[in-house]
This record gives sequence, C-alpha cells and structure tokens, in this order.
Amino acid sequence: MVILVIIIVVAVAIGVYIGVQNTKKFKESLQCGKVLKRSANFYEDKEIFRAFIGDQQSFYNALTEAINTAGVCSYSGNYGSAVNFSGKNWSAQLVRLQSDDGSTMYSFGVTNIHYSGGRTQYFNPYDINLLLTAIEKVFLQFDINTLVYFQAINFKAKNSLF
Amino acid sequence: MGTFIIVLIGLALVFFAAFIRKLINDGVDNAVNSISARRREKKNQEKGYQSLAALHGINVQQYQQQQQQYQQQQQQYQQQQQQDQYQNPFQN
Repeated sequence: MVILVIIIVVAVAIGVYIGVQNTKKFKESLQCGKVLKRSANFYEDKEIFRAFIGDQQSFYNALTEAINTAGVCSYSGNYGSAVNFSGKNWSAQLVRLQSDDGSTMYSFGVTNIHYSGGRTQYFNPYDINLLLTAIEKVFLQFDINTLVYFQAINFKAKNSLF
Repeated sequence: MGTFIIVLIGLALVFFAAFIRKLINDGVDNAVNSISARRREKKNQEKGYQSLAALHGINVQQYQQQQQQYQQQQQQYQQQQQQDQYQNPFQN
C-alpha cells in the first residue's frame, strides 16, 4: 500500500514537473516571438495565405532558413508545388495555390495526426506552433499586408489494428 | 491437429475483434471530427480573410512609418558616406 502511494506521488510529481517545464518553455518562446498564443486545437484549421511577394527566390530562401531554424521536423518537396513536413506523430504540408490576381497563395495545414485506440497519439502542438509562426513571419517579412483565411480540416481517423 | 485448429480459430477471433474495434473507433472519431470541422468552418467563414500582421500584434501603419524612417536614415547615411568620400578622395 505504502509503495503504491509512493509510486503515485512520484508519478504526479513527474507530471507536474513536465507541465511546469513546458509552460516555462512556451512563455519564453512567446516572449521571444517564436510562437503565437493560439487556441488549443489551432492545428485543426488550415491557414491560407495571400500575399504579394516580389522576389520569389528570396522568399523561398527565407522560408528554408525559417524552417531550418525552427528545427522541429524533417521536410521535403519544393516551394513551387508543395513541401511536406514530418514531425513526431504529425505531418503537415505547405501547398502553393493557384492565384488569378498576381498574388502568391499558399496553404499550411496538418495533414495527418496519428490515432491509436480511438484517441490521437501524443504529439506536441508546440512544435507545429513554432513551425507555423516561423512561416507566418516570413510572409510578413515579404508583405506586411498578408491576409490569412482559416479553413477547418476534416481529419480522417486511421486507428491502428492493435 | 485439434489444438492447431483451436489456436487458429482463437487467432482469427482476436483479429476479428481488433478489426471491429478499429471500425468502431474510426467511425466515432470521424463523426466527431466531421461535426467539429463543420462548426469551425462556419465560424471561419464569418471571419473571412484576416490581417496576419494583426494576429501577430503588429500595427501595420506604425510598421510602415518605421520602415520609411529606416529607409530615409539609410539614404541619409549613404549620402553622407558619398560626401565623405568626395571630401577625402585619398581615403583607403
């Protein structure tokens, strides 16, 4: 009985410690401007950016630098069509969209959240926030009047068999 | 032989149960996701396009004024540099 109580107390203490550390990390990043304060399930919406960007190559270079600096996922693809990001238990995509008014349009959205046994597997939304904030800042750097539209994503659950 | 068949049937039952469980979980998750997505999309449509700068807490007018000031300062600095070089051609 005593051992059980000790185990529970230790588990709770570890949980509290991790929670405090995460909050501290988030607050520090928020102050530095690395992340934005977003809703708890912000990753369930796709962001569609509309900006007027002159030099596309400089824009691509800035995006690459920002993504590398964020350093929360691996990525592949090209900015002319789509870039795929792969993080721990999540994946996302930055897709170039067609525009008929000379503007540059991209959408950024989480493409997959891994499910297990009827619930999403643990993933850290902080990582997506960090990446998304870095991308948003590049848009602002090139066009301060960038517009953004939020579009709800309808995730398809694919639970594992076991 | 009898034991082998029993093990085989047991394994088939385990897989069948897991498959049914997966179907139920997927169905429930998809239904919840779909309802949630529809609700959020309605709100998003009401908001329409928003200023990204405003979401980042940037005052666009103030930012543009600062940018103009910065560019003016840069120009003044460059003009000053050119004047200094003209006045002192033997520099460097």
